[in-house]
Amino acid sequence: MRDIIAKSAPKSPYLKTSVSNDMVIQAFDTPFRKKCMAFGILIVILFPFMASNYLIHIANLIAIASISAMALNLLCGNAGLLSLGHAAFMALGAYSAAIMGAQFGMPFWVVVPLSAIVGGIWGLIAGLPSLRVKGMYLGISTLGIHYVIVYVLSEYQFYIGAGFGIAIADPKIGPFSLSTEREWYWVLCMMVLMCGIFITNVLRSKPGRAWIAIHNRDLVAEIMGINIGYYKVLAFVLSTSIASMAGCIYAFYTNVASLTEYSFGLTISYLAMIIVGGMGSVVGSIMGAFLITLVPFALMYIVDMLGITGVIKEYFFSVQSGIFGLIIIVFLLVEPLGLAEIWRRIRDYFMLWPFRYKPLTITKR
Amino acid sequence: MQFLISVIILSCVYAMLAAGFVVIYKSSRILNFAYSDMAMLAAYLAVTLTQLVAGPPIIALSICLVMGFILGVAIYALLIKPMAGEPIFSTIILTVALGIVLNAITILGWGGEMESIPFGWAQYYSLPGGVRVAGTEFIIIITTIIFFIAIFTFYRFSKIGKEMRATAENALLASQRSINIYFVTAFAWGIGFFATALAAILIGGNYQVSLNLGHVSIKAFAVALVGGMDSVGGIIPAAFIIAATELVVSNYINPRLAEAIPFIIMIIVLLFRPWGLFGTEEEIERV
Repeated sequence: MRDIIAKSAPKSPYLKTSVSNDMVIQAFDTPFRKKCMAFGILIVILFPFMASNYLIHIANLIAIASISAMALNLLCGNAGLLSLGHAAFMALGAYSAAIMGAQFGMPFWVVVPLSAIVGGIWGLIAGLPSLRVKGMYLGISTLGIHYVIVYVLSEYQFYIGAGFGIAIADPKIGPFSLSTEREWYWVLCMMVLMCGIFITNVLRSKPGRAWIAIHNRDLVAEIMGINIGYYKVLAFVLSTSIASMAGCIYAFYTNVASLTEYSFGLTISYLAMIIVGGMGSVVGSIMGAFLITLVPFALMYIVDMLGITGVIKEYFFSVQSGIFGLIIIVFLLVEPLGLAEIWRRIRDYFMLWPFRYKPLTITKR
Repeated sequence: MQFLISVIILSCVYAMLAAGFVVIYKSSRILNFAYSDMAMLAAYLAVTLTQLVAGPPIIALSICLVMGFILGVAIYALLIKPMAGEPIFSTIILTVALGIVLNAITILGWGGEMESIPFGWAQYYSLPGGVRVAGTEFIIIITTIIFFIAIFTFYRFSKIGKEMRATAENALLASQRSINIYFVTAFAWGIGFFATALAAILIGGNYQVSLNLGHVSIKAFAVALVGGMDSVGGIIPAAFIIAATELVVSNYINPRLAEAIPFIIMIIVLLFRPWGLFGTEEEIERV
């Protein structure tokens, strides 16, 4: 009992001696991590005062991608359910924004939660096959859901006569209007923070533990009394509603909902984010979103700087997606646990430096 | 009658596409998502080879098929084999990533222009009943029949084919009986990519080679799943079902719905009979 009551933070992740220590949100548990987090928050706050509008635009894209990547990571990394329909779930959010926001003129703060509900309902449908099949069959069935959703949305777009996309006005909350990058930056930062805390909390409470159990061995999880079907569908519903919300915010941010944007390729770049970042890690999702969103801009910068023209410039998009593919392949072959794992290794090295002890062996999942 | 012919031709195309998919799945239990991009690459390769190699197109196309086989073996040896023992999820994502790389190579190399593969037999024939059939369509039907007879004979009678079936049934036991399972699986990947290249060439000859080809071949997933992922024989009826439904919907209801209908059928089959119409029930990982 004393152990459970003990509240003192350990000096190192290796020195956890009580349940309450283990339940602390990892990002804040050691003094070193607290300092890192404080430094990070300082950078996030100071960033818009120093950066140009272009850089803030990139930061906003990273923020939206982080929210969506966290949702996908919850489903694929933690619950272990392969989803190939992520782009379609984001498209649902975007079109909710288009239909409810632009056509019916509902305010921003009503549309965002409603889009989450729309995403959740479709997530329920997409989650139903997970009661029957698992592994890659589930992946294929979510791919099927992707095409069904894209069909429904294209039918709608055809019906209202919008060729390439539906324009959406800047959101207004009372007297405030979100139009410039700088205004969006603060809203998006708050959203990433809220989503991150929400998902971390879900993961360290009962559903999170249930998902880890199902991921590791579903048969044993069922014997332990976990209602597998319920938790699998719950993972789908949560993930898709957050993804749909991210899509809704993205549509409001770019002021357009266009079906060409939400192709299968978008799903792949989100999968790249969670693989590069690290499966099943909230911080990993943000790191992955950061890296993968930055890649096209960095490539564009390099191409412009070196003055490359010709085929590479002309088909820049496919160069970019090819590099995505290569990044995923290299990470899967060399470092399957992603950036989060590299970061953990570096951190552990310096935590014990200069007095090295034999590190604890971490079992690979 | 004309409608029936077009159903048959479309189902031949789907059957060929799904064959490459099922052969790979059967032996290595890996869903090959690089599949549609591989088909596109093979089609463009065939276009270039027919322009480069003199003589009748069959020589150039054979070279293309052999190259497909070699590419399949190489991909297995370089990328898939090192992933043995990793979670199946990672391997699938690896094939997805491979697909993107192949797609990028295709676009960079050929620029995504519309091309066509000359078969040298383009005239139309009028059959009794007012049906018009093109020479290329005859080629599709004949090639599909020959291919399926060949693959059944191969599985039934040849030594490698028997070893392949043994490996598919139980890899551990097969390796204990001194079957080189890596060689057998590599060979299966070769055959899979060979079939893909063949299907791509047929599509390219009859319709057109364009970036849309990848989209057509994604429907092969639906065909393979409806038929049963481990059943080569199940492909043919499944392809017929999918092709017929798609054409009926496209002609009489709504062309845009036709794009989604194979996947709707697939989801329904997955919900009620996840191992496919003709697959083995125990095969699938069920919950």
